[in-house]
Amino acid sequence: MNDWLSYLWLIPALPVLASLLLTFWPVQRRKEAALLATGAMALSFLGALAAFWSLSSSGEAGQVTRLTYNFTWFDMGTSSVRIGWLLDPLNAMMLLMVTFVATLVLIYSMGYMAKDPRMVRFYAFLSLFAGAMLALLIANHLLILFMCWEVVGLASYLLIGFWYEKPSAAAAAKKAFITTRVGDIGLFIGMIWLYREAGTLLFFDAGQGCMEQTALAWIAKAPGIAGLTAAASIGCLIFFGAMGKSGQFPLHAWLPDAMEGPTPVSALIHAATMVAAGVFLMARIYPMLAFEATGTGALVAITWIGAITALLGALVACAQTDLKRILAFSTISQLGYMMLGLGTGGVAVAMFHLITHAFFKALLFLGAGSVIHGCGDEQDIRYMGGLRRAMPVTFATYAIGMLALAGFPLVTSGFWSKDEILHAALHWHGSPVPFAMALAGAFLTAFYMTRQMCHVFFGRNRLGLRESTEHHPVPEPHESPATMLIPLRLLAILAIGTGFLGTPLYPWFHTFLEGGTLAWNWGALLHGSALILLLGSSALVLTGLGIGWWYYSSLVFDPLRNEDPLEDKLPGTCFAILRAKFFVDEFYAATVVRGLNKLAWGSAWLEQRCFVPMLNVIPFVTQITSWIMRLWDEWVINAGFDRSCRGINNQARRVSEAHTGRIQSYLQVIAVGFIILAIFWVWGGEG
Amino acid sequence: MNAFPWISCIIWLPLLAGITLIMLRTSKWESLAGKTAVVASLASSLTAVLLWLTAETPESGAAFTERLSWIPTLGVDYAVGMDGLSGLMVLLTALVMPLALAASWQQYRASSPYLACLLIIQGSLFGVFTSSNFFLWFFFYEISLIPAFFLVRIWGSPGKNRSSLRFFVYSMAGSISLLVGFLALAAATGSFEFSVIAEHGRTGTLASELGSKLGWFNMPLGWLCTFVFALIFLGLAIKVPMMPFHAWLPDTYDHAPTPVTMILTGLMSKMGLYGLIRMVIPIFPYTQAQVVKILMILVAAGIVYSALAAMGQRNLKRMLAYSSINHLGYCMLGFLSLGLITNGEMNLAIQKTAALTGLMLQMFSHGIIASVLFYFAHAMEERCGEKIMIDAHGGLRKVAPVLAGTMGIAVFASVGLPGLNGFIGEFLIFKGVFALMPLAACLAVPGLLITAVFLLSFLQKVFQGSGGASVSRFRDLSMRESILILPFLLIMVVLGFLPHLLINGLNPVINKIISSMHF
Repeated sequence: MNDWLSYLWLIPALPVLASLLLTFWPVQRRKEAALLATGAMALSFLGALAAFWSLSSSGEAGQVTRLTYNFTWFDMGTSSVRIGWLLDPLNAMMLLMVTFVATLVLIYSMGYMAKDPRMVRFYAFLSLFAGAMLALLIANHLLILFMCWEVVGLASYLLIGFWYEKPSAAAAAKKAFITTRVGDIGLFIGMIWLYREAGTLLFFDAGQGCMEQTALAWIAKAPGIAGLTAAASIGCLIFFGAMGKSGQFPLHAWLPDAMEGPTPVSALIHAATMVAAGVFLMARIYPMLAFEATGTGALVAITWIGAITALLGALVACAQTDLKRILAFSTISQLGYMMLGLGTGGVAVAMFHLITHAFFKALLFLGAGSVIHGCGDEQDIRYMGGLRRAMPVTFATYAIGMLALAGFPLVTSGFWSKDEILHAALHWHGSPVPFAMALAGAFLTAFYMTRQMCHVFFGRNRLGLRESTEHHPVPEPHESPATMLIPLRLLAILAIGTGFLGTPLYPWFHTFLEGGTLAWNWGALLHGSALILLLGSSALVLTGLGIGWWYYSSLVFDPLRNEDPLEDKLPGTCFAILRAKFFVDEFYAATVVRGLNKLAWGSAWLEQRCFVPMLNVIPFVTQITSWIMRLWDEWVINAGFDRSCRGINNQARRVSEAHTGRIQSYLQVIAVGFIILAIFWVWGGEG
Repeated sequence: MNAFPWISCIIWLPLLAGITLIMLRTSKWESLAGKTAVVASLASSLTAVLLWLTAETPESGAAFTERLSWIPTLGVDYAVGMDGLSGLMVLLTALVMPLALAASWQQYRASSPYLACLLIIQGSLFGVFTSSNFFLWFFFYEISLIPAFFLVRIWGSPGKNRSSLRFFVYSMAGSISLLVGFLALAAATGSFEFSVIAEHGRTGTLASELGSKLGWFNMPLGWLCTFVFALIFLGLAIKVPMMPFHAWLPDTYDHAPTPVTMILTGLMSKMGLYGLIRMVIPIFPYTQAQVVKILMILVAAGIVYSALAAMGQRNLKRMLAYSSINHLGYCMLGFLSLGLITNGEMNLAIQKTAALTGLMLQMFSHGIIASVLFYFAHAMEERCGEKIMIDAHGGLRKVAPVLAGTMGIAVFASVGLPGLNGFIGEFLIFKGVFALMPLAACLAVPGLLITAVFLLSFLQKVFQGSGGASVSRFRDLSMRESILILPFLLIMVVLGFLPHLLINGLNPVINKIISSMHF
């Protein structure tokens, strides 16, 4: 019945194929390369549409349809390792989003990367990323998911370091790979633990998978670490991996640096898709986390980390001056919201925000790229200003994205999805603190986005204040080409439109993901806490927007002399701490990096000064012994014989290039020494 | 087909060619030396690959078996054969040797002693991996050591004298220990055949036989058995090398000519692991269990320590040397986990199967990856005319994009990136070890991270950033070098996704080993 399902692999295969072709593509055929990659991606999008349509038309209404296709990968001993792919509402939604955003980003890059000499390579890397990301989404096996997870990490590494001549880009790429790999260590251990307990890593396998009743009941019973059940411990370990990938505190430090990559990369990988993979992974293993006997340990951890990240990211974003880094911190913050939503409200809540966020954050990044492109690669918002006249389309679309991110009431998608999370956090039984943190974060989001808007698009243009040189004349701000604006327009529509898929009035999104009957529910908005929350969060967002506007709208600002208005308003060194991102980077440099370097230095020293000299004893002893042996031979045993043979000996010495003749005598000593050693060693083992 | 002595061909063709090259060492023959070496080595390697491809291994046993009476008084036969494990190692040798020969070509094509040494190593490696009794195995094992010693001693870089001596003496020490251990076994069981001794080990009669035949110093039986086990284990652990018996390695790898380092790390270290799988697992199923937990902790600590030591190096070859110790540490971990007592839990057989499969895959993968990495180190040395100090270079990707890209693939394979061949072996080892002894696995896991740190730092410093001093005289890989390295990169990528290309051939021997264990 599901013949088409066996072709699902084509969706990731197309971009991978494009990537392979582009690896051997002649570098001057730039346009063809771009068209090939974009075409493959667009085909994947059509495939995702078809898959989505087939999925929604199969199965019964009110039920979650989950289609799997499993097969044997290889036999190992007497058992076999089976892998497969699956299609369920969770990844059907993600497939649509990823293929759509990726297609737009590839179109956008035609304009953005037009002058880059290595554009073909850029498209090859982006296609590789898209392919691996899509494969990650359809994987029905944690190991396969992990493999794709690492390959998207590799693509991210390659693309952050795309301009590898810049030392900062090279360093940022390494930092990103290593930091996410720290998380992956947790994921790796979690994975092999899960493998041990469940005996399979297939998620769903007709009742035998590791995310299904039988296995879960077993895993939840097994003992774990720190008083948790095995299921909760595994959940925490896997979440550690998700923390690395999704920029959760304290593993978030790589994401702002990742902005060294080209802006389309930031939009696709570090805003819309890859960083959301952590949330997706947690949604994938949610059956285990939410299993009754698992206990709430893992979900509590997820909730708290999410809430801390949401607030922290928003705080830091208030004081940054780099256009893209502000957006990066807002991504960190929003990813925190998703984790918070997952911990308190479940898959649908988190995924709804993931999808809406993907669209409006991709919009914001592509808009930022358009701004940077139009301002001659200027990224400091203090030197921008007044761009709304020069770049009207960018301004309008960016404003929509900014309002969506801020959660402007009723009309934007960000409002509805964030409202869901706040609602879930409010009703969480653990503690009211995460809810309060989320509220504060929502207020700050509105504030820092207004700050950024005012800096970039309002006031007067300050590009001239940057000292210009012969090579860098003061750029004249200009609007970007059509290839860059079309994606902006499309994403702007979605930044508004997707919100209405999941309003409490008509929660299509939730019923699609979690099953249940879909109906108009006029009462949902009006009953007690929901209405109060709706009004309250709206008021909060509007206040944030208002304060931001009040601080920054009349900004007559000279970056060389004036302080940030926020700096005056905040007491003491608060602003400086925020500007320095809570000194997290410095903290890591002083502890982890320094410690590791010290350890490495110490090990190398130990090798050089201890192990190798110890070894020197062996030739030394053998040489002394062989010398004694020689004396014994020469003076005692065959003195006379030697004399007569001296002629021959001299001849032989000339022939032999190495003094191998002594080796037999070394061996005698070694044999004795060795036996002593071996006895010693056996005793050590026994004792 | 079995009638023809195929395996003897691949062993003796390079061996005899090598001996001939030494004998005919006159200027008249020097021009022919290169050709002879290439023909002999390639013919033998190609035949070996074909053997691997066509081998139809019977359920329990080896293909292409040959048996001739050799020393009847000792009951020693000349007996060779190829089962899955032998086949894997023969394939690895057949792949790496031509690469090492190609890397030597520029400098040593006219040096017949050098080429002769390479050929002798190749022949004796094939011999080691196909022998089915200890006597023959040890014969080839020792033969391979002599040319390796001369290669380091004569053609190495400054410091070669001391390091080659250390290498030889240390290896010899290991060999003696092995020999003593095996003579004890032979005396007890009356046979040198692996399969016969293993049968004694499996049925548990070995300990009492050792006691009755030897009875050294009236040692208790368990002690005696442990002692013999320790002798053999130590001999092989030095060869691998396992921390802390590794001290001969960094200097030797550094001072050896880089093509020889490729052989040392890619192939000769595998002789130790091969011996461990071939001899220790089947013969000492009980004894190993007594000390294995301590050893596993030791190995896990060694994995992290060697990764840290690699991170502390400034010389590329030394860094790769420590990285090799680190990767072989995973192999040792997988090997040791097989010896754990599992108290009759049958489902742990699956975990041991995973560890053993991973161990074999890792042996092959490390052989390929390490020799390719040293090949690149050699290519860089050729270009700079000196040892590669990591801090002294920068921005090479700009002038050598192909070298940077291809070496990047090899580096990521070494990091253990999924989708390349280095990952699946490590994963299976960790899967097995974690289930059998979680503590050891968790202790060793940081090694994976530190490996990524120093290898990516290497990429960052040497290839990225702005130009260093060496940029101007650096050139990219030539067409010849690119074509040479391409098959190896293909192997890395293909095995990353299709490990069953190797595993299918290994399953019979793995099943045999696992089923002979007691649970």
